[in-house]
Amino acid sequence: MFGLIFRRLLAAIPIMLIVATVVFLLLRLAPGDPARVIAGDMASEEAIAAIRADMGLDQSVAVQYVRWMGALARGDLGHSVLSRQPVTQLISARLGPTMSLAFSAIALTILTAVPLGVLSAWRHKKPIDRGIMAGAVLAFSVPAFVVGYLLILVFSVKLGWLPVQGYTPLADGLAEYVGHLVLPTITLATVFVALITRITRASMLDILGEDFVRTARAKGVTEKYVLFRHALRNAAVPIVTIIGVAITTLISGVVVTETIFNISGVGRLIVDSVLARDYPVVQGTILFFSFIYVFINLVIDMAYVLLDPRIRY
Amino acid sequence: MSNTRFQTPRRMALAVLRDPVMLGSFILLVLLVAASVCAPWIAQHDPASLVPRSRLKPSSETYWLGTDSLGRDLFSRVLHGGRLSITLAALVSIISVAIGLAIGLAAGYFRRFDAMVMRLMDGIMAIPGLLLAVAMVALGGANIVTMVSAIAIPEIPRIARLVRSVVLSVREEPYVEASLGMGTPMHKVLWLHIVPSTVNPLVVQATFVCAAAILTEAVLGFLGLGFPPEIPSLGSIIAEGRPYFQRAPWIVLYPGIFLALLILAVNMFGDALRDRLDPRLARKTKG
Repeated sequence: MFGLIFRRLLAAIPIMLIVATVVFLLLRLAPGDPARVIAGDMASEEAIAAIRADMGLDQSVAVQYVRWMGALARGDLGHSVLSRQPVTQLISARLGPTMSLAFSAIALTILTAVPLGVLSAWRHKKPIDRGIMAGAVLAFSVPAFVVGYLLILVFSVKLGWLPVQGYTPLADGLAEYVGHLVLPTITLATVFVALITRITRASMLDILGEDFVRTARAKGVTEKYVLFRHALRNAAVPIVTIIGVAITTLISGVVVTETIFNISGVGRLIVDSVLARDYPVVQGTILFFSFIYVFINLVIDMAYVLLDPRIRY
Repeated sequence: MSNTRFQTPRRMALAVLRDPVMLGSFILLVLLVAASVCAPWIAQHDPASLVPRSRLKPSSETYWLGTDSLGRDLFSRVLHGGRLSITLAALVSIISVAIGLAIGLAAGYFRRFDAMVMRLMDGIMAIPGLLLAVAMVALGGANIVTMVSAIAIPEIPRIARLVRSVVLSVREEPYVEASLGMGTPMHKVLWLHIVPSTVNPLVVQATFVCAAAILTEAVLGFLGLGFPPEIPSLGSIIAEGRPYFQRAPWIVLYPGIFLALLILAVNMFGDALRDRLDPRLARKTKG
């Protein structure tokens, strides 16, 4: 087991190198001059040159690349041009709300989407299946900010049950913490629930059509056992794979959700930095999120071994 | 793999008429697109004309969907916003499909090229698309070139992978081998045998790219990173309505509903199209 974890971690290093290189290339080759963007429209040529020198942009692309990789190897994502704080510090200060939001959304997704998908597959082509599928297409199409504002309108403005905006840390009391998380979580999870319901249903249908399921039913195994022990266990690998791939969607959703609900998390950090033209923070945060994606997919890769004993690396 | 050639327009039309979901979503889509494209002729008010007397008015006979905080007609702004969304989505789909097709064909045929380019594609896929778009727009400014490339680049890897997988399976087909064996030049084989097999999955994929592009453009506008404020975009209309949400929720809700309907119509049409054109994919995700 430890050998496996070690080998997988080793395999992630080239992937991270590629991701870091792609982020570097895309942002260096994109039109526009970061120094000019940071300096603003009214800046003098000297001021722009000073920023360029400060950020190392006056060097050749190759030198910049080596420096960027060298800094990354030391865990340095650069520093803000406004506050001079390291990007890693800015991110860690805002990680709490983002993590709470992301984890509660994933939990809500798994708790609702998997049962819905199983139910839909079990009642294949029955009205309840059609209803769930119609709901999934609808939920998949409504943008997060529409969902968010509808929820605020109904539950906060009209009914007054939940706070309109903001975030309270867990240290300020559980009720407050949960109360502030409910609407953002639903907003963020909607697209996911739709996606995972569809995937669960599709992979369940695949498995339920297999011979061993018919055999199990024929020998009198209860329907519940067939669905959850035989079918869902086998359907778990594709479901978990899609959850991993969809992490990028979740991250994009976090940016939007944090904006709707005025939560100052990492997603909001990117938007604020873009608006403040704090270019190194934008770049560092994007790389941070890309690494999160690689890391989560690495963990999922290892989880396959637990989910499906047939898989061996 | 679907070796059937793309169906003739006549057969496509018949298929659309027979499938109620396809017909419904197609009609909705045509209505929304037509209304947006014809916005300057349908909407009676200039989307930019300010009427301070009629600020934040609910819907009425003069202002069908009410007015925003500056007294501008919301109906007209929403339709003009839809016009922008649809134009951008069309551009993004065409460009990302063209580039993705080229990369996928090359990767599927040239082994050396394959390993390198597909690693690059994996790298792009690891970067959350919205964040990449945000950074590129922040750097390059919100002009049409930056906007289109910022939204198209994250879509390219998916298309390239799709095309590559089609190429890899079709190139082993006996008729392709026979054609090569008879001395048909490579570029002709690619064009005559491989490319036609990619058309159906690509058409389906293009609808999903369209839906994603409409959404991304709206999100960028919502985050304040879209086109300059004088160009109405669905996302920026919603963002401008945020401070007045409690007093005048329609400024946020109407463009939101329009956006949701537009994406829903594209997605449903795409789903129905996939069931018809790409049975293998349909079985995988629909059952």
